[in-house]
Amino acid sequence: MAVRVSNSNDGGTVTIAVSERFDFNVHREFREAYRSAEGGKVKYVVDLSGTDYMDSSALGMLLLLREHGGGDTSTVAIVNPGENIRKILKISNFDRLFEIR
Amino acid sequence: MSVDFQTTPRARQFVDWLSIYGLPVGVLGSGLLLTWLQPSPYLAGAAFVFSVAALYWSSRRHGRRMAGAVDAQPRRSGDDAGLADAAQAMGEAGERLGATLSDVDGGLLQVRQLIADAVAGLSGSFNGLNNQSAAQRELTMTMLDGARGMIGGADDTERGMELFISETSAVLSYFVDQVVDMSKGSVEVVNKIDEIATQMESIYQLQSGIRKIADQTNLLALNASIEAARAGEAGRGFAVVAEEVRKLAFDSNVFSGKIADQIAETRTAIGEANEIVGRVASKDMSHAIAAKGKLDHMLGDLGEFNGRLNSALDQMSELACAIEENVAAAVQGLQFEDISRQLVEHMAGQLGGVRALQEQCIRVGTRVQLRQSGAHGDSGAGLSADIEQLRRLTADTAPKVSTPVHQNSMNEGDVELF
Repeated sequence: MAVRVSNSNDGGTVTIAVSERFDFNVHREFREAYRSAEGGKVKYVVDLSGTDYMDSSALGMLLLLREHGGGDTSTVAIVNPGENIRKILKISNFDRLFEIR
Repeated sequence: MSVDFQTTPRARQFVDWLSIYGLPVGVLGSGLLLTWLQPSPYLAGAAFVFSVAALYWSSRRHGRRMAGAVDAQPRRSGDDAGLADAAQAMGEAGERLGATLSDVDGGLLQVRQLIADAVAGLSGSFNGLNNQSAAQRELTMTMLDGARGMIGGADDTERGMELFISETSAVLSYFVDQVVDMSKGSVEVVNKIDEIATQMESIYQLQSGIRKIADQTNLLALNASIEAARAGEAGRGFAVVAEEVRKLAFDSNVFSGKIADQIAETRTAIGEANEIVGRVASKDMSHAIAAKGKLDHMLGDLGEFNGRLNSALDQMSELACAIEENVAAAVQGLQFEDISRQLVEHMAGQLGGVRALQEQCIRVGTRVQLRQSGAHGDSGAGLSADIEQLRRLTADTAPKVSTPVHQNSMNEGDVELF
């Protein structure tokens, strides 16, 4: 599995961990992962600690996740990105749309 | 010096001459020797002044002594001859002194001219240096300003490299936004295609239901045909219907097969579309990162360069100020011309007095000579008046206590451009 989903005990947080390559090939799994919970009711945490490559389709997927989570009212956090991933997020101004930590 | 008047007149004359002219001639001689060794109008003037002073001193001493001698003894013809000789020698010396004085005068004039010319040239070149330095500074400032304009700074955001870089950066951001937006749309499209594929799957399921129904209809029609055959003649019409139903079932199967083929084709097309859109959605971001990194680096370099430029500009200003100060100091130093001129003028004035003294000496000498040769119309009163005049002139030419120029340092006084 390129994408692993885990729910917190209280069910309020859905953590999606993506494997090495966050690209178009994982789009279906990624979508299923966030669609497992109803948007607007849970917090999403995207764990990129194991990811070392990310292309523009991953950015598109993250934006769709944000829309699913309720757009501007969503709470989506991107955690543990590597240096290159962090640069990509920064260059795309994702630091204004997501909580990156 | 004791003089024995009983010795031969020749020797006495020589002693007298030596007592009067020995010292001045010696001083003048050594002065001339020195001047010859080290040509200098000052030295010549000094030698001359000293020799005249020595002459004056000697003649006064001699005069006092002679007056005593005249008082003590009646005039003798031998003394008269000596006196005439002395007067003649004095006249000759006076003439020579006059020539030297003219020389010294000319020298002083030349010195004055030389100094004035040199100072005029120097102040001209210093002023030129000052002007050129100012022009150079202005040119450099213009160049640096141009460079600053090309780079652009915090206070000049309308042009320059900095603006270019920031605009490029904005364009890059715009493209990144576009790429991300397009990727998002593409993924959305792919999601929709996925949904369509899922729906196609259910259509396929439905189609297989149709095939099942057709198969069962076929079986049913077969059973109906068998039953119709068993019924014999009575079932003949039913057999025809059953055959028609079988045909329909067969057609239905063929139709279902065509639908299945279409679905398969659509599936393939969807898969291809999925792949194409996926390709469009997947853009490598590393180029954008590299470009962004380069732009940031360039901006940093530019900032650094701007800082260096400003510091160079400051240093240039400091240097220009230092040059100006140095030129001002040099021009101030050139005031020595003024002081030297005053000194030379003072010396020339002193020389005038000395010349008058020298002329009076000649006059006295001539009168003594005339008197000794017994010329008519020469009274003692004339000689006394001339000697009195000589004394007055001597007093006048005595060195002044005050110096003509009090300024010894060039740093005093105002700075003026000549």
